[in-house]
Amino acid sequence: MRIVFANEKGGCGKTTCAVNVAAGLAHIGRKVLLVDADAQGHSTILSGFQKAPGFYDLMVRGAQFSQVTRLVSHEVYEIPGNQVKGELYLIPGNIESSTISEKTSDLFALRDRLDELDGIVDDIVFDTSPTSTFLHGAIYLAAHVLFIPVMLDSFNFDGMVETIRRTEQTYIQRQGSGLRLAGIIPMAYNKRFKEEEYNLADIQEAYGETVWEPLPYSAMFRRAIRQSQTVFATAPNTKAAHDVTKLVARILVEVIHGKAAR
Amino acid sequence: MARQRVNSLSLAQRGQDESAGTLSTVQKELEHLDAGAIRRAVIEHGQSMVIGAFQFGRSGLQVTGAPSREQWESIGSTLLLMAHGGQWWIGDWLNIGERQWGKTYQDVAAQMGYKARTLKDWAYVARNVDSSIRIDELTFGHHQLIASMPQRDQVKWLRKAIENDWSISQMREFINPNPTPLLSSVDRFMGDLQAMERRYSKVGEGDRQQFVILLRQLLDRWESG
Repeated sequence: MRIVFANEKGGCGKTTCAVNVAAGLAHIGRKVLLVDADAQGHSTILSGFQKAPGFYDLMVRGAQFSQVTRLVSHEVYEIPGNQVKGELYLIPGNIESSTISEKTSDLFALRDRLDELDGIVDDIVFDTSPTSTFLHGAIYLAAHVLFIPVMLDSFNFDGMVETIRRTEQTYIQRQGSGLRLAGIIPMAYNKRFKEEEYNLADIQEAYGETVWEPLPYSAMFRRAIRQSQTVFATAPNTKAAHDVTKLVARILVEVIHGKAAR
Repeated sequence: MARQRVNSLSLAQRGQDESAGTLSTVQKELEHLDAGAIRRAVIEHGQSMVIGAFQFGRSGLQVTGAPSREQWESIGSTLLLMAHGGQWWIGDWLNIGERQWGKTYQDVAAQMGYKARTLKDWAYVARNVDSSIRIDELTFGHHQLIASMPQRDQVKWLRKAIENDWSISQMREFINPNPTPLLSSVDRFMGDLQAMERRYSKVGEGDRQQFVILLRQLLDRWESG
Protein backbone atom coordinates (compact mmCIF):
# COMPACT_ATOMS: atom_id res chain seq x y z
CA MET A 1 0.00 0.00 0.00
CA ARG A 2 1.37 3.41 -0.96
CA ILE A 3 0.27 6.04 1.50
CA VAL A 4 0.81 9.77 1.10
CA PHE A 5 0.47 12.37 3.83
CA ALA A 6 -0.19 15.75 2.27
CA ASN A 7 -1.67 19.15 3.02
CA GLU A 8 -0.85 22.37 1.22
CA LYS A 9 -0.17 23.99 4.57
CA GLY A 10 3.02 23.78 6.58
CA GLY A 11 3.28 22.71 10.20
CA CYS A 12 0.17 20.57 10.21
CA GLY A 13 1.78 17.29 11.25
CA LYS A 14 2.55 15.57 7.94
CA THR A 15 6.03 14.54 9.07
CA THR A 16 4.87 13.44 12.51
CA CYS A 17 2.19 11.27 10.90
CA ALA A 18 4.36 9.88 8.13
CA VAL A 19 7.30 8.89 10.31
CA ASN A 20 5.28 7.49 13.21
CA VAL A 21 2.86 5.58 10.99
CA ALA A 22 5.71 4.15 8.90
CA ALA A 23 7.52 3.14 12.10
CA GLY A 24 4.37 1.66 13.63
CA LEU A 25 3.67 -0.46 10.56
CA ALA A 26 7.28 -1.67 10.56
CA HIS A 27 7.01 -2.45 14.26
CA ILE A 28 4.01 -4.65 13.59
CA GLY A 29 5.94 -6.67 11.07
CA ARG A 30 5.61 -4.96 7.73
CA LYS A 31 8.41 -3.94 5.39
CA VAL A 32 7.98 -0.22 5.02
CA LEU A 33 9.75 2.36 2.90
CA LEU A 34 9.47 5.96 4.08
CA VAL A 35 10.10 8.48 1.30
CA ASP A 36 11.09 11.94 2.44
CA ALA A 37 9.80 14.02 -0.47
CA ASP A 38 9.91 17.25 1.51
CA ALA A 39 12.91 19.48 0.81
CA GLN A 40 13.06 20.28 4.52
CA GLY A 41 14.25 16.73 5.13
CA HIS A 42 12.64 16.47 8.54
CA SER A 43 11.50 12.88 8.10
CA THR A 44 15.11 12.08 7.38
CA ILE A 45 16.26 13.70 10.60
CA LEU A 46 13.47 12.07 12.60
CA SER A 47 14.60 8.72 11.26
CA GLY A 48 18.06 9.31 12.66
CA PHE A 49 19.89 10.39 9.47
CA GLN A 50 21.48 13.50 8.06
CA LYS A 51 19.65 15.21 5.23
CA ALA A 52 20.76 13.77 1.88
CA PRO A 53 19.62 13.95 -1.76
CA GLY A 54 18.34 10.37 -1.92
CA PHE A 55 14.93 11.22 -3.37
CA TYR A 56 16.51 13.68 -5.82
CA ASP A 57 19.02 11.06 -6.94
CA LEU A 58 16.23 8.55 -7.47
CA MET A 59 14.07 10.93 -9.48
CA VAL A 60 16.65 12.98 -11.39
CA ARG A 61 19.89 11.03 -11.56
CA GLY A 62 18.25 7.66 -12.04
CA ALA A 63 19.92 6.12 -9.00
CA GLN A 64 19.17 2.54 -7.99
CA PHE A 65 17.07 1.96 -4.88
CA SER A 66 20.01 0.17 -3.29
CA GLN A 67 22.07 3.36 -3.66
CA VAL A 68 19.60 5.70 -2.01
CA THR A 69 17.82 3.55 0.56
CA ARG A 70 18.85 3.47 4.23
CA LEU A 71 17.81 0.93 6.84
CA VAL A 72 16.41 2.77 9.86
CA SER A 73 17.83 1.65 13.20
CA HIS A 74 15.43 -0.07 15.59
CA GLU A 75 16.58 2.41 18.23
CA VAL A 76 14.50 5.03 16.42
CA TYR A 77 11.20 3.24 16.84
CA GLU A 78 11.41 0.12 18.98
CA ILE A 79 9.16 -0.07 22.02
CA PRO A 80 11.39 -1.23 24.88
CA GLY A 81 10.57 -4.82 25.64
CA ASN A 82 8.73 -5.34 22.38
CA GLN A 83 10.94 -6.38 19.51
CA VAL A 84 10.39 -4.83 16.06
CA LYS A 85 9.09 -7.51 13.71
CA GLY A 86 9.42 -5.74 10.38
CA GLU A 87 11.81 -3.38 8.65
CA LEU A 88 11.77 0.34 8.09
CA TYR A 89 13.72 1.85 5.22
CA LEU A 90 14.17 5.48 4.29
CA ILE A 91 14.87 7.37 1.11
CA PRO A 92 16.26 10.60 2.55
CA GLY A 93 15.57 14.08 1.28
CA ASN A 94 17.17 17.50 1.38
CA ILE A 95 16.90 20.91 -0.29
CA GLU A 96 17.64 19.38 -3.68
CA SER A 97 14.18 17.81 -3.63
CA SER A 98 12.78 21.31 -4.27
CA THR A 99 14.34 21.30 -7.74
CA ILE A 100 13.03 17.90 -8.85
CA SER A 101 10.02 19.54 -10.49
CA GLU A 102 12.30 21.64 -12.71
CA LYS A 103 14.36 18.68 -13.84
CA THR A 104 11.82 16.01 -14.63
CA SER A 105 8.74 16.12 -16.79
CA ASP A 106 7.36 12.59 -16.61
CA LEU A 107 4.44 12.55 -14.19
CA PHE A 108 4.45 8.77 -14.16
CA ALA A 109 8.19 8.27 -13.64
CA LEU A 110 7.86 7.85 -9.88
CA ARG A 111 5.04 5.34 -10.20
CA ASP A 112 7.13 3.32 -12.64
CA ARG A 113 10.15 3.39 -10.34
CA LEU A 114 8.12 2.29 -7.35
CA ASP A 115 6.68 -0.61 -9.30
CA GLU A 116 10.20 -2.04 -9.07
CA LEU A 117 9.57 -2.51 -5.34
CA ASP A 118 6.40 -4.58 -5.68
CA GLY A 119 6.85 -7.71 -3.62
CA ILE A 120 9.93 -6.27 -1.93
CA VAL A 121 8.29 -3.81 0.44
CA ASP A 122 4.72 -3.96 1.80
CA ASP A 123 4.10 -0.27 2.23
CA ILE A 124 5.52 2.99 0.95
CA VAL A 125 4.82 6.09 3.01
CA PHE A 126 5.40 9.58 1.58
CA ASP A 127 6.05 12.73 3.54
CA THR A 128 5.43 15.73 1.27
CA SER A 129 6.21 19.43 1.25
CA PRO A 130 3.45 21.97 1.79
CA THR A 131 3.97 23.76 -1.51
CA SER A 132 2.18 22.01 -4.34
CA THR A 133 4.47 21.24 -7.27
CA PHE A 134 4.75 18.90 -10.19
CA LEU A 135 6.33 16.44 -7.75
CA HIS A 136 3.07 16.25 -5.80
CA GLY A 137 1.36 15.19 -8.99
CA ALA A 138 3.90 12.43 -9.50
CA ILE A 139 3.33 11.25 -5.92
CA TYR A 140 -0.47 11.41 -6.23
CA LEU A 141 -0.26 9.31 -9.37
CA ALA A 142 2.02 6.78 -7.70
CA ALA A 143 0.16 6.49 -4.39
CA HIS A 144 -2.97 4.54 -3.48
CA VAL A 145 -4.34 6.47 -0.52
CA LEU A 146 -4.12 10.02 0.70
CA PHE A 147 -4.24 11.19 4.31
CA ILE A 148 -4.56 14.85 5.12
CA PRO A 149 -3.28 15.82 8.55
CA VAL A 150 -4.88 19.11 9.55
CA MET A 151 -4.59 21.48 12.47
CA LEU A 152 -7.96 22.81 13.53
CA ASP A 153 -7.72 26.34 12.16
CA SER A 154 -8.94 28.17 9.09
CA PHE A 155 -5.62 28.34 7.23
CA ASN A 156 -5.18 24.60 7.62
CA PHE A 157 -8.70 24.07 6.33
CA ASP A 158 -7.82 26.17 3.32
CA GLY A 159 -4.76 23.99 2.65
CA MET A 160 -6.88 20.87 3.10
CA VAL A 161 -9.58 22.06 0.70
CA GLU A 162 -6.95 22.99 -1.88
CA THR A 163 -5.31 19.58 -1.54
CA ILE A 164 -8.61 17.75 -1.97
CA ARG A 165 -9.65 19.92 -4.91
CA ARG A 166 -6.33 19.53 -6.69
CA THR A 167 -6.07 15.78 -6.21
CA GLU A 168 -9.67 15.20 -7.30
CA GLN A 169 -9.77 17.55 -10.28
CA THR A 170 -6.25 17.24 -11.59
CA TYR A 171 -5.04 13.80 -10.76
CA ILE A 172 -8.05 11.59 -10.16
CA GLN A 173 -10.42 12.94 -12.82
CA ARG A 174 -7.98 14.04 -15.54
CA GLN A 175 -5.03 11.70 -15.07
CA GLY A 176 -6.95 8.63 -13.96
CA SER A 177 -5.08 8.24 -10.68
CA GLY A 178 -6.49 5.56 -8.40
CA LEU A 179 -5.72 7.75 -5.42
CA ARG A 180 -8.38 7.66 -2.72
CA LEU A 181 -8.83 10.12 0.13
CA ALA A 182 -8.64 7.70 3.05
CA GLY A 183 -8.79 10.12 5.91
CA ILE A 184 -8.51 13.61 7.29
CA ILE A 185 -6.60 13.46 10.58
CA PRO A 186 -7.16 16.39 12.97
CA MET A 187 -3.80 17.01 14.61
CA ALA A 188 -2.69 18.31 18.01
CA TYR A 189 -6.31 18.50 19.10
CA ASN A 190 -6.86 20.25 22.40
CA LYS A 191 -10.47 19.97 23.47
CA ARG A 192 -9.95 22.57 26.16
CA PHE A 193 -10.02 25.19 23.41
CA LYS A 194 -13.60 25.72 22.34
CA GLU A 195 -12.45 27.02 18.97
CA GLU A 196 -10.86 23.64 18.20
CA GLU A 197 -14.01 21.84 19.26
CA TYR A 198 -16.14 24.00 16.95
CA ASN A 199 -13.69 23.62 14.07
CA LEU A 200 -13.62 19.85 14.52
CA ALA A 201 -17.41 19.80 14.41
CA ASP A 202 -17.29 21.88 11.22
CA ILE A 203 -15.02 19.50 9.31
CA GLN A 204 -16.90 16.49 10.64
CA GLU A 205 -20.08 18.00 9.26
CA ALA A 206 -18.44 18.76 5.92
CA TYR A 207 -16.50 15.53 5.43
CA GLY A 208 -18.36 13.01 7.59
CA GLU A 209 -16.62 9.73 8.31
CA THR A 210 -13.60 10.75 6.26
CA VAL A 211 -12.56 12.69 9.35
CA TRP A 212 -10.69 10.31 11.63
CA GLU A 213 -10.37 10.45 15.36
CA PRO A 214 -8.16 13.43 16.26
CA LEU A 215 -4.59 12.90 17.34
CA PRO A 216 -4.53 14.88 20.60
CA TYR A 217 -1.86 17.41 21.44
CA SER A 218 1.10 15.95 23.26
CA ALA A 219 4.45 17.38 24.27
CA MET A 220 5.87 13.92 23.63
CA PHE A 221 5.94 14.54 19.88
CA ARG A 222 8.29 17.49 20.42
CA ARG A 223 10.37 15.42 22.78
CA ALA A 224 10.62 12.70 20.13
CA ILE A 225 11.70 15.25 17.51
CA ARG A 226 14.40 16.54 19.83
CA GLN A 227 15.72 13.03 20.25
CA SER A 228 15.37 12.15 16.53
CA GLN A 229 13.13 9.24 17.38
CA THR A 230 9.51 8.24 17.11
CA VAL A 231 7.21 8.33 20.12
CA PHE A 232 7.40 4.54 20.32
CA ALA A 233 11.03 4.75 21.37
CA THR A 234 11.00 8.07 23.19
CA ALA A 235 7.79 7.79 25.16
CA PRO A 236 6.37 4.28 24.78
CA ASN A 237 4.18 4.42 27.83
CA THR A 238 2.47 7.70 27.16
CA LYS A 239 -0.83 8.80 25.72
CA ALA A 240 1.00 9.97 22.59
CA ALA A 241 2.28 6.43 21.90
CA HIS A 242 -1.17 5.10 22.67
CA ASP A 243 -2.82 7.50 20.20
CA VAL A 244 -0.29 6.80 17.44
CA THR A 245 -0.66 3.05 17.93
CA LYS A 246 -4.41 3.46 17.53
CA LEU A 247 -3.86 5.42 14.32
CA VAL A 248 -1.48 2.75 12.98
CA ALA A 249 -3.88 -0.03 13.92
CA ARG A 250 -6.74 1.74 12.20
CA ILE A 251 -4.71 2.29 9.03
CA LEU A 252 -3.77 -1.38 9.09
CA VAL A 253 -7.34 -2.55 9.64
CA GLU A 254 -9.36 -0.05 7.62
CA VAL A 255 -7.00 0.86 4.81
CA ILE A 256 -4.36 -1.79 4.23
CA HIS A 257 -6.16 -5.03 5.05
CA GLY A 258 -9.62 -3.51 4.73
CA LYS A 259 -8.92 -2.78 1.08
CA ALA A 260 -7.66 -6.31 0.52
CA ALA A 261 -10.86 -7.69 2.03
CA ARG A 262 -13.21 -5.56 -0.06
CA MET B 1 19.24 28.95 35.77
CA ALA B 2 17.38 32.00 36.86
CA ARG B 3 15.90 31.43 40.27
CA GLN B 4 14.98 34.85 41.43
CA ARG B 5 12.31 34.24 43.98
CA VAL B 6 9.18 35.90 45.24
CA ASN B 7 10.28 35.50 48.83
CA SER B 8 9.45 39.06 49.57
CA LEU B 9 5.84 38.44 48.59
CA SER B 10 5.34 35.08 50.21
CA LEU B 11 3.68 35.06 53.60
CA ALA B 12 4.05 31.36 54.23
CA GLN B 13 5.90 30.26 57.32
CA ARG B 14 6.96 33.73 58.23
CA GLY B 15 6.38 35.65 61.39
CA GLN B 16 4.06 38.57 61.69
CA ASP B 17 6.95 41.04 61.44
CA GLU B 18 7.99 39.63 58.16
CA SER B 19 4.40 39.60 56.94
CA ALA B 20 4.16 43.23 57.87
CA GLY B 21 7.33 43.85 55.91
CA THR B 22 5.84 42.11 52.92
CA LEU B 23 2.68 44.14 53.09
CA SER B 24 4.68 47.29 53.33
CA THR B 25 6.50 46.26 50.15
CA VAL B 26 3.19 46.05 48.38
CA GLN B 27 2.08 49.26 49.98
CA LYS B 28 5.21 51.01 48.73
CA GLU B 29 4.47 49.73 45.26
CA LEU B 30 0.97 51.11 45.47
CA GLU B 31 2.04 54.41 46.96
CA HIS B 32 4.58 54.75 44.23
CA LEU B 33 1.75 54.70 41.73
CA ASP B 34 -0.05 57.59 43.11
CA ALA B 35 0.68 59.36 46.34
CA GLY B 36 -2.17 58.79 48.72
CA ALA B 37 -3.70 56.10 46.52
CA ILE B 38 -3.95 53.63 49.36
CA ARG B 39 -5.75 56.15 51.52
CA ARG B 40 -8.26 56.67 48.77
CA ALA B 41 -8.67 52.96 48.16
CA VAL B 42 -12.18 51.98 49.05
CA ILE B 43 -12.88 48.39 49.85
CA GLU B 44 -16.53 47.49 49.79
CA HIS B 45 -16.91 44.16 51.49
CA GLY B 46 -14.36 42.59 49.17
CA GLN B 47 -16.50 43.32 46.11
CA SER B 48 -14.61 46.23 44.64
CA MET B 49 -11.66 48.50 45.26
CA VAL B 50 -10.84 51.95 43.99
CA ILE B 51 -7.29 53.18 43.58
CA GLY B 52 -6.94 56.59 42.05
CA ALA B 53 -8.85 56.65 38.81
CA PHE B 54 -9.29 52.87 38.63
CA GLN B 55 -12.10 50.80 40.06
CA PHE B 56 -11.38 47.10 40.41
CA GLY B 57 -14.30 44.69 40.52
CA ARG B 58 -14.44 40.89 40.64
CA SER B 59 -14.71 40.61 36.90
CA GLY B 60 -13.34 43.80 35.49
CA LEU B 61 -11.55 47.13 35.74
CA GLN B 62 -13.17 50.46 35.06
CA VAL B 63 -11.70 53.92 34.74
CA THR B 64 -13.53 56.43 36.88
CA GLY B 65 -11.36 59.44 36.27
CA ALA B 66 -8.64 60.56 33.89
CA PRO B 67 -5.43 58.69 34.75
CA SER B 68 -2.10 59.83 33.39
CA ARG B 69 -0.02 57.45 31.32
CA GLU B 70 2.40 57.09 34.25
CA GLN B 71 -0.46 56.10 36.57
CA TRP B 72 -1.70 53.58 34.01
CA GLU B 73 1.77 52.06 33.69
CA SER B 74 2.35 51.98 37.42
CA ILE B 75 -0.91 50.31 38.23
CA GLY B 76 -0.22 47.80 35.47
CA SER B 77 3.08 46.66 36.95
CA THR B 78 1.33 46.07 40.24
CA LEU B 79 -1.52 44.20 38.59
CA LEU B 80 0.95 41.92 36.83
CA LEU B 81 2.65 41.23 40.14
CA MET B 82 -0.72 40.44 41.69
CA ALA B 83 -1.70 38.20 38.79
CA HIS B 84 1.48 36.19 39.17
CA GLY B 85 1.55 36.02 42.94
CA GLY B 86 -2.15 36.35 43.72
CA GLN B 87 -2.95 32.68 44.24
CA TRP B 88 0.11 32.30 46.46
CA TRP B 89 -0.87 35.30 48.52
CA ILE B 90 -4.40 34.06 49.03
CA GLY B 91 -3.19 30.55 49.82
CA ASP B 92 -0.67 31.84 52.34
CA TRP B 93 -3.22 34.25 53.76
CA LEU B 94 -5.76 31.46 54.26
CA ASN B 95 -3.17 29.32 56.02
CA ILE B 96 -2.17 32.15 58.34
CA GLY B 97 -5.83 32.74 59.17
CA GLU B 98 -6.37 29.10 59.95
CA ARG B 99 -3.22 28.81 62.04
CA GLN B 100 -3.78 31.93 64.08
CA TRP B 101 -7.53 32.26 64.34
CA GLY B 102 -8.90 28.91 63.21
CA LYS B 103 -10.61 30.61 60.31
CA THR B 104 -11.03 27.90 57.69
CA TYR B 105 -11.24 28.29 53.96
CA GLN B 106 -14.90 27.25 54.25
CA ASP B 107 -15.53 30.20 56.58
CA VAL B 108 -13.81 32.56 54.18
CA ALA B 109 -15.66 31.11 51.19
CA ALA B 110 -19.01 31.51 52.88
CA GLN B 111 -18.21 34.98 54.16
CA MET B 112 -16.77 36.40 50.96
CA GLY B 113 -18.76 34.53 48.35
CA TYR B 114 -16.06 32.39 46.77
CA LYS B 115 -16.05 28.71 45.92
CA ALA B 116 -14.69 26.68 48.81
CA ARG B 117 -13.01 24.25 46.43
CA THR B 118 -10.92 26.96 44.81
CA LEU B 119 -9.78 28.39 48.11
CA LYS B 120 -9.04 24.91 49.41
CA ASP B 121 -6.79 24.22 46.41
CA TRP B 122 -4.87 27.47 46.83
CA ALA B 123 -4.40 26.90 50.55
CA TYR B 124 -3.31 23.31 49.95
CA VAL B 125 -0.65 24.28 47.42
CA ALA B 126 0.65 27.13 49.58
CA ARG B 127 0.81 24.84 52.63
CA ASN B 128 2.55 22.00 50.83
CA VAL B 129 5.05 23.85 48.67
CA ASP B 130 7.50 25.53 51.01
CA SER B 131 8.21 29.14 50.15
CA SER B 132 11.92 28.35 50.04
CA ILE B 133 11.56 26.15 46.95
CA ARG B 134 8.99 28.13 44.97
CA ILE B 135 10.29 29.45 41.66
CA ASP B 136 9.30 32.89 40.42
CA GLU B 137 9.47 32.06 36.75
CA LEU B 138 7.00 29.22 37.09
CA THR B 139 3.29 29.75 37.60
CA PHE B 140 1.19 28.71 40.54
CA GLY B 141 -0.20 25.99 38.26
CA HIS B 142 3.26 24.43 37.86
CA HIS B 143 3.60 24.27 41.64
CA GLN B 144 0.08 22.88 41.97
CA LEU B 145 1.16 19.81 40.00
CA ILE B 146 3.83 18.86 42.52
CA ALA B 147 2.11 19.94 45.75
CA SER B 148 1.31 16.39 46.83
CA MET B 149 4.89 15.12 46.42
CA PRO B 150 7.66 14.84 48.98
CA GLN B 151 9.78 17.99 48.97
CA ARG B 152 12.75 16.29 47.34
CA ASP B 153 10.57 15.38 44.33
CA GLN B 154 9.01 18.82 44.28
CA VAL B 155 12.45 20.38 43.91
CA LYS B 156 13.41 17.89 41.21
CA TRP B 157 10.32 18.56 39.06
CA LEU B 158 10.38 22.33 39.50
CA ARG B 159 14.00 22.35 38.41
CA LYS B 160 13.19 20.25 35.35
CA ALA B 161 10.27 22.54 34.48
CA ILE B 162 12.40 25.67 34.55
CA GLU B 163 15.30 24.04 32.72
CA ASN B 164 13.09 22.72 29.93
CA ASP B 165 10.74 25.69 29.81
CA TRP B 166 7.73 23.42 30.25
CA SER B 167 4.18 24.71 30.07
CA ILE B 168 1.82 23.38 32.73
CA SER B 169 0.39 20.78 30.36
CA GLN B 170 3.87 19.65 29.30
CA MET B 171 4.91 19.32 32.92
CA ARG B 172 1.75 17.36 33.71
CA GLU B 173 2.49 14.96 30.90
CA PHE B 174 6.05 14.36 32.03
CA ILE B 175 5.08 13.89 35.67
CA ASN B 176 2.19 11.62 34.87
CA PRO B 177 2.94 9.88 31.58
CA ASN B 178 0.61 7.01 32.34
CA PRO B 179 -2.65 8.50 33.57
CA THR B 180 -4.83 5.50 32.76
CA PRO B 181 -4.18 1.77 32.96
CA LEU B 182 -5.02 1.53 29.26
CA LEU B 183 -1.77 3.19 28.30
CA SER B 184 0.42 0.58 29.90
CA SER B 185 -0.95 -1.83 27.35
CA VAL B 186 0.59 -0.07 24.33
CA ASP B 187 3.36 -2.64 24.06
CA ARG B 188 0.89 -5.48 24.65
CA PHE B 189 -1.42 -4.21 21.93
CA MET B 190 1.53 -3.81 19.61
CA GLY B 191 2.36 -7.44 20.40
CA ASP B 192 -1.23 -8.46 19.54
CA LEU B 193 -1.01 -6.58 16.26
CA GLN B 194 2.29 -8.26 15.45
CA ALA B 195 0.75 -11.68 16.04
CA MET B 196 -2.30 -10.83 13.94
CA GLU B 197 -0.12 -9.51 11.14
CA ARG B 198 1.90 -12.73 11.11
CA ARG B 199 -1.28 -14.75 10.90
CA TYR B 200 -2.75 -12.48 8.23
CA SER B 201 0.17 -13.19 5.92
CA LYS B 202 -0.73 -16.88 6.10
CA VAL B 203 -4.47 -16.48 5.60
CA GLY B 204 -5.90 -17.34 2.20
CA GLU B 205 -7.76 -14.77 0.08
CA GLY B 206 -11.13 -16.25 0.98
CA ASP B 207 -10.61 -15.84 4.70
CA ARG B 208 -9.28 -12.32 4.67
CA GLN B 209 -12.63 -10.59 5.15
CA GLN B 210 -13.23 -12.65 8.26
CA PHE B 211 -9.73 -11.83 9.42
CA VAL B 212 -10.31 -8.10 9.04
CA ILE B 213 -13.40 -8.45 11.21
CA LEU B 214 -11.21 -10.07 13.87
CA LEU B 215 -8.73 -7.22 13.57
CA ARG B 216 -11.53 -4.68 13.99
CA GLN B 217 -12.72 -6.49 17.09
CA LEU B 218 -9.22 -6.42 18.49
CA LEU B 219 -9.01 -2.69 17.85
CA ASP B 220 -12.44 -2.07 19.40
CA ARG B 221 -11.57 -4.13 22.45
CA TRP B 222 -8.35 -2.27 22.94
CA GLU B 223 -9.93 1.16 22.47
CA SER B 224 -12.62 0.37 25.01
CA GLY B 225 -9.95 -0.65 27.51
